[in-house]
Amino acid sequence: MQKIKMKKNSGRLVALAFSALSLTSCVTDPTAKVKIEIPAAPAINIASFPEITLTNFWQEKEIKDLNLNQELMLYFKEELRLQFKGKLSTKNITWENAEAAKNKDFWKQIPVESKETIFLTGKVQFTQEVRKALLEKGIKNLDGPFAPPKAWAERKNYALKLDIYLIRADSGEILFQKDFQESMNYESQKQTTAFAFYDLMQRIKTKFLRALLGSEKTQDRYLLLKS
Amino acid sequence: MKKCVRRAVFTLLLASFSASFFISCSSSRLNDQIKFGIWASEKDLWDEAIFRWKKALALDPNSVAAHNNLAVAYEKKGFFEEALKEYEFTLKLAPNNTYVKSNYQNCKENIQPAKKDAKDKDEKK
Repeated sequence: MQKIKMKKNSGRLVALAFSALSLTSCVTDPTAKVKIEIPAAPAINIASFPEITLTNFWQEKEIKDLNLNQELMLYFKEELRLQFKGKLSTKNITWENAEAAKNKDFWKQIPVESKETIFLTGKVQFTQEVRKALLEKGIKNLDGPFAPPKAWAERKNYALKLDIYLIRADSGEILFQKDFQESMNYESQKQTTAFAFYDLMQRIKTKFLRALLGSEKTQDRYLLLKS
Repeated sequence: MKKCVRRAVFTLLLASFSASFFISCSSSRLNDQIKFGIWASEKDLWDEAIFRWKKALALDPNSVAAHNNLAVAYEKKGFFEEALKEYEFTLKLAPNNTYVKSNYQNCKENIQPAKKDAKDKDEKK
């Protein structure tokens, strides 16, 4: 009698063990989240072009104390020299209007050494303003030889907006186009325009080269643990 | 009579459990390859991971995990076209899998974002 009971119990135990095993396999998380450095695809393969010609940008307003276009061309020329093994040249063009970047005929008629040249060009906007903000309400003047505390704070704000184009010289086709906008506040009222420009260009340069040449970036991906 | 019924039920249960056990055994070889691949990827051995996931695909050509993981590995190696193809195939097998969808979206956004920006801008205008 006892043997029969033992057999029955062992059977139930086996069944229970199987079901427990199958249940645990269903409960576990089905994914593994991984952070991977993914090489971003370059927008265009600039190495396949023999020459890049940097032109002056379309500029709405002239800036005091700074030749914006010349600085831009020099800056990009120096930065591209590190990334591009072909020829780099500069050319001053006369912009018809802001929309000339999209006019294929406009680019085709510009004389170039090689037909496979690409133009680096675009539109630029650089603004500067002083922003004021109230610090505190009801600041009392102190007695004595102290100057009255300032009731507001001033910051110099600079904003740089660049719309960059890479255009084929032979067809006028736009190979690459991207907007970049950066701004910065400076506490010092003595901040020079040129200094601010190079600060902002540093930021834009990183983003532009990343977008153009493709560089590694960290992203999340899900690996599935089970088929 | 009762004994007979009990025996029958018990044998049925045992048979079903053992069948599932054998099935899980064969799929466990597949899962082993997938897990090995994941282990390799965690150690940054992406070539080994690709080898393991390809082996998993040899065992089951419709394995969602193997296809998805292989796509991730291709992305990591910079083979974007292959990665996209793998993701697209995976989505055909598992169209509602949110993880695969998320991977696919991110991969697509990485490919020529600048060209996409230009297109979007033109479309808006």
